[in-house]
Amino acid sequence: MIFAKIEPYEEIIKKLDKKEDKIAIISCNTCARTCGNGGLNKLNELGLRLIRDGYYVTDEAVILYACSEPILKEAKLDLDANTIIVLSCSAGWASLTRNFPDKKVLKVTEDIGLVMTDTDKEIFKVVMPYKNHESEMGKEYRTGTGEPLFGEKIKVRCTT
Amino acid sequence: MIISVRSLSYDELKRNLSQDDKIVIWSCDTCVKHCGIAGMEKMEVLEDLLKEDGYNVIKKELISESCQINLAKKHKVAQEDIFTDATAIIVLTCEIGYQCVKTVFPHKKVIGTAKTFGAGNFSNRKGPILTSPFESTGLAQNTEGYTLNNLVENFNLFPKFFDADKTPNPPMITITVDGKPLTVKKDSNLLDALLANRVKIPHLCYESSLGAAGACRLCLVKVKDKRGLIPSCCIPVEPGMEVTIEDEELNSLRKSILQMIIAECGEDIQQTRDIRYWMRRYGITENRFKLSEKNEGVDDSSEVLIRDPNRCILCGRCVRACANLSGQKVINFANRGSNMVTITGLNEPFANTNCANCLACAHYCPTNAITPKSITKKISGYPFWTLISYPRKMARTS
Repeated sequence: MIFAKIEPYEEIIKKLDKKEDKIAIISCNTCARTCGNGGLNKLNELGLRLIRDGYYVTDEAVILYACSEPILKEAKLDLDANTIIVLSCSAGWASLTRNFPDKKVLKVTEDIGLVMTDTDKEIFKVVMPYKNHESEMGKEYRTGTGEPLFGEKIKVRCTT
Repeated sequence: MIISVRSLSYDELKRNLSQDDKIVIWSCDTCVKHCGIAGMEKMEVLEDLLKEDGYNVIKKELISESCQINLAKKHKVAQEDIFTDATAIIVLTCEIGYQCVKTVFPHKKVIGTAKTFGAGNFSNRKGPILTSPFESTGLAQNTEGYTLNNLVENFNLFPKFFDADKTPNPPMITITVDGKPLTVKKDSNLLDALLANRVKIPHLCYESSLGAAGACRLCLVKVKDKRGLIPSCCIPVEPGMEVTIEDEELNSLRKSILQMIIAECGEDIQQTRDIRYWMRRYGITENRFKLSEKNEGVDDSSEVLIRDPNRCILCGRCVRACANLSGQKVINFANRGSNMVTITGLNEPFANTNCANCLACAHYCPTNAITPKSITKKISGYPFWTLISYPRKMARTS
């Protein structure tokens, strides 16, 4: 599973043009949902905020895996938008960039690293961070919200 | 998905093992399966190779998501006897899955077989591709992606699975199917043997990753010198076995079973791939049974799954997937006889159970009674009350 952190709302709207952009929000329902930057809740949250701030949101979609082309095809996305905000990791963004070459596909998340999860304790732990985020190694977060936790609840006995 | 490539040759794997080892092969059923180096089929290949070379494989353990450490712990508890006996675990997972297994079995010899490169996509044209590599690989982020062959060449790794190094040669036997000789793998079950030889036979409840249940009765066959009709998923092949898989009686029976399933579960399930195929094959155009009037509520409480009990044919695939692959046992049967149903938790909505959202049930459901949640909607403005609740919701944003 991969953990990506979503940019602050202020950074996201800097990439948008209120007059020109017709916006679709596509949210991944697997890793991104588990790590608190995707799924239906985050989609509704961002969609509502953009609409309230006067942006023109035309489409919203929650798909199982943003990183899988067969799933994307199955979702039969018929977007009226010219701009897509992708709530997923960079792999999901890459997939949508390839599949919608005529649209502006915005990357609003940054990959932190690969994580191990414990769905019973509702925790995920960064075990293979990307280089820019090596300080995140071993940090634990709450699943579904991405809220940082203190103390070690998942003990990992080896590293790769 | 996480992109991993095989990092161990078959000879290197053997060097890590001794002939006295009691071996468990452990495999993840998600990302690495799509990278072609894991899954039930690959475990069977590796088991054949190792057995041929005199190693003792005591168990194949398939897990729905190996990066969920709580599921790994549950597999350990469920198969405690086997894991107590085991001395070596060969892990067909990404490096995260390897870390989980090593953490759960700290005193066992755990052998990882894959190198993980980062995140990527499953492309229709190129298969699995790496788009977001770790910086340590020296590769730049690339939306077009690096194929697995690129990675194998650049990093001196191993293409495909262990059977690329050495072709397995399991013991074979000959059986007769509808008067024609067929060479099949010894000790396999009859349905697997037929499917491996591209003999088509209807089946809905059987899936090699989940094991046999003999529930749907569509794969019934006649075996010489055995009484009655036998579900082919529940019988092992024997040398000289004479099997009839197609005759008037069997076809008529299968036609009736299909019609009963459709009558019970509604005409919607005719749209599912397997049922549509077999309806066409047996020429079913209308149903002689009365359609059921059951109209149970659809459970969409889960963030990830939608469960429509009206489409359930009680094949038990979801029950076995939840118990055997995830180890959660969230889905189960309730009641008996004609009142039997599948339920989640203690007959409560999915959202109230301890479902791990591993999607194993949805992947294996043959009639789409459980499907992954996918929502697409056109926006024409939000109702007034939604905007009122907005500031409180926003308190949780980044």
